[in-house]
Amino acid sequence: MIAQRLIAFIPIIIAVSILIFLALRVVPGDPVTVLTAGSPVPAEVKEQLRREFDLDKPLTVQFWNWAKNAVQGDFGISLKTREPVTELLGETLPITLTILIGGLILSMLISVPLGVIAALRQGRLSDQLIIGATLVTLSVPVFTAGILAIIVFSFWLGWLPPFGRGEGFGWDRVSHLLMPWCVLGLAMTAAQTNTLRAGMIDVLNREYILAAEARGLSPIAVIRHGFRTAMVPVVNILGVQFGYMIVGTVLVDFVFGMGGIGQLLVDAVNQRDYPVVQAILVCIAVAFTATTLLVDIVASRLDPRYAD
Amino acid sequence: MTHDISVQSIMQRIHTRRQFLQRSLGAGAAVGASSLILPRIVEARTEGNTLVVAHVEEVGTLDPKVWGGFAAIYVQTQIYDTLMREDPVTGELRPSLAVSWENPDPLTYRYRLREGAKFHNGAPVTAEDVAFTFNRIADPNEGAWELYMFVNVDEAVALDDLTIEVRMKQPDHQFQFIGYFEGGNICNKEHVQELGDGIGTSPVGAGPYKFVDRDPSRVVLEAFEDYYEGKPPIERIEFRNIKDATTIVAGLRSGDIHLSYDVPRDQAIILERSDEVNIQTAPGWEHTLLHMANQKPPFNDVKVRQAVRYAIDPGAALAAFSKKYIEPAYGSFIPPNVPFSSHDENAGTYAPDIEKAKALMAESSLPDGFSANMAVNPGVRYEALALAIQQQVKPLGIDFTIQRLPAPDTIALAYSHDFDSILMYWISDYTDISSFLLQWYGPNGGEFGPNFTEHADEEYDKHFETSLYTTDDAEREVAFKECQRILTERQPSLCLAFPQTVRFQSSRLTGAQTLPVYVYDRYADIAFSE
Repeated sequence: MIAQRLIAFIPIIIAVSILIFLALRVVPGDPVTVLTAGSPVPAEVKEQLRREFDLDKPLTVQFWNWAKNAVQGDFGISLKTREPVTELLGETLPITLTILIGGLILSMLISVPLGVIAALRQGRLSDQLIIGATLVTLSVPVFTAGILAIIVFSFWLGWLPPFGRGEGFGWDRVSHLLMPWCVLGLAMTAAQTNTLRAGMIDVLNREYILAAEARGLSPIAVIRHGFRTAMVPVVNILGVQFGYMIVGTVLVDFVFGMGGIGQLLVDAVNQRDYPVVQAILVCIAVAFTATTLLVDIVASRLDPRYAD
Repeated sequence: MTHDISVQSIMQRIHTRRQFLQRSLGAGAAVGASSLILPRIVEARTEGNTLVVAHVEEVGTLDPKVWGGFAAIYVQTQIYDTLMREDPVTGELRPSLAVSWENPDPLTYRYRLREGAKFHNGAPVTAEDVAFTFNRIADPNEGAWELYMFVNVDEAVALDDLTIEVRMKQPDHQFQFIGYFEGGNICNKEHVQELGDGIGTSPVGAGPYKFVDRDPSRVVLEAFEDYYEGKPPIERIEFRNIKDATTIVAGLRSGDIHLSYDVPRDQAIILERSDEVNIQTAPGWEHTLLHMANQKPPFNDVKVRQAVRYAIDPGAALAAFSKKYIEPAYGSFIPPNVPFSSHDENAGTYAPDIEKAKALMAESSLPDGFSANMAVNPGVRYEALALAIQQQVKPLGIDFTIQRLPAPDTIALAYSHDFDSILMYWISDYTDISSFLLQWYGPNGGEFGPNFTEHADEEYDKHFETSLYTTDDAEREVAFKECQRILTERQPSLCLAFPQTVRFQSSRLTGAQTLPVYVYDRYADIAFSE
């Protein structure tokens, strides 16, 4: 099944690449005009730039040239910084992945216990408090939470640096990542907690759980049994949330100046830096497709019925 | 449930509460300890002689030949040196890499270099490097954005190791300003020949700071030990790309950012109250303009443009902003501090007068009014002006649709000439009035100057050309005054305000004053007071 899904990847990525390529060209604004703006530039300079970046060629030739090189891992040169796009991705992707994965782990660390507790204490005060708290984290936009965090932890308390990505693998790096992780992680907690809570409540009332309880299985063992099944919708929702998380990292990048792909993407779209936008969007598409596949695999492991 | 079990469960709960209390105390102690530890770590972080400069815009290429945005220019100002530099107070040209210069005849500029200046790679700065730098930009095949400043250069020649002669095709007054203009950033010939366009990511200059590293979040520079004026006091500069202005404001207050130009003026008031931040202003070489397409209806009619001008009161629109940061304009096009400015003569020409505006509209080709589009640069002050203009012209039957665009798009749209009207800014490239006036020079865009509005006025072009090709100041003055008279009279664009140059910096910094064209601010004179 995995092999089949992997093969299905290829046409999806090709179609997405073509769509992105065309969409970029349809958006009004010419990269050369954007790039030379701010100064009176002779027409010959603009022509020269167009030739340099293949922009004078027909769209089909431009796409073919791009695709041919992209397959070999060469995404061209950034129009704005004149750096190879692959290098730019190498500098930005690791930090974005660190924010994404850290945010994801943190959200799971928070939402799993909260979801289970809320389900077990259904209707009681603690359940209502948990639901209320997660709704608050859901309602505060990521950039507002980011700015609030900066004001509290950087400005008032002076504990954490307000921006940047830090260096090395020690505290300097972690101190820069803590706020982005928390902001992104908390934003995702609500959906996961509530999905897990609903899943647990549903599972705990099923006959096999009641039967297990009746046979005298310890409460912990019963919860473990139910948890496995209740996690299936959570894993599925994680797949959907991945898209939301990418938007989240763009905003987190925006507020905390991390220099991840979000910041790069915003700059590149503003500047009509076609090679950079194209490369980032294709990477996101690949990541999104891969995540859906991963989610299916994990879900089928948790509940074999999903394997069908 | 039996009573016994209840007691048991109560005992359990007590036990759990005790555990809870113990754990809470433990957690509290941990938080307390961390609050003691964490500030120490933060102190370590802010120690050291590093200047952190924050900017919203991405730093583009660091090759002077290629337009990399305003942030790239002020990074380049630290890396490269120029032949001259501008006096922050008088605006006069002062020696930098060149110790002297002369203009023996209108077709020749000759510069004498200082001895002992070095590039970051250890090579001496020679006349050959300067000639190479100038010829590289003057060559149309190189596609340099500053070509417009070099159109009249025939060739630059090294006469000996330290003397350069630039020969012109025709007299060109503007060329004297190349001395400190970004296009005059001197590159090392050998380095450029070796790396080509690669110097954009690995620049070598003769300036006070050398390039160390860059990633999308920052550019890092380090003090150059062999700088001819001595190693600058600040050891390291980090240019931080931070998209969110609120983060910049918080960073300035917390001391994590030491210098920035990118604070929205409505948030400046927060920093005015802060002891940590010092706000420096300088008379800006900038104006805020509503450009109108002069070659198509509705704004091809001069009476329509004048009517709109009389209806608008930029002072009312900008009432929320302190005059320290922006001064409304009522007829003048050029800031008062600029030499040859006719600011005082023209300043009151268009005092708001709605009756006059209505009378002009009635005489115009569109007496019943019209609808038009207004593209607007992002930013609070542009938003305030756009909304006010929209309301203020309504009595004339004019209906403006506001179109908000990202900054690069506004500029690109202006260059495309495909707009009804567009609200944006213009910052002078160099401190000469011609850098403002060239915006209305040349029919159909011209080879020189952007001419956003497609202003076509032979008289204006004639005077502007006179100013370009003469080196006689009296003649230039007459020409510039005439250009300004025509602008005020015909209103090809509406000049609405003169923003000041504003630099927000840590109160721990001493030494430097911001320049009217802030992208040429040098940080080599700045130091931390402690």
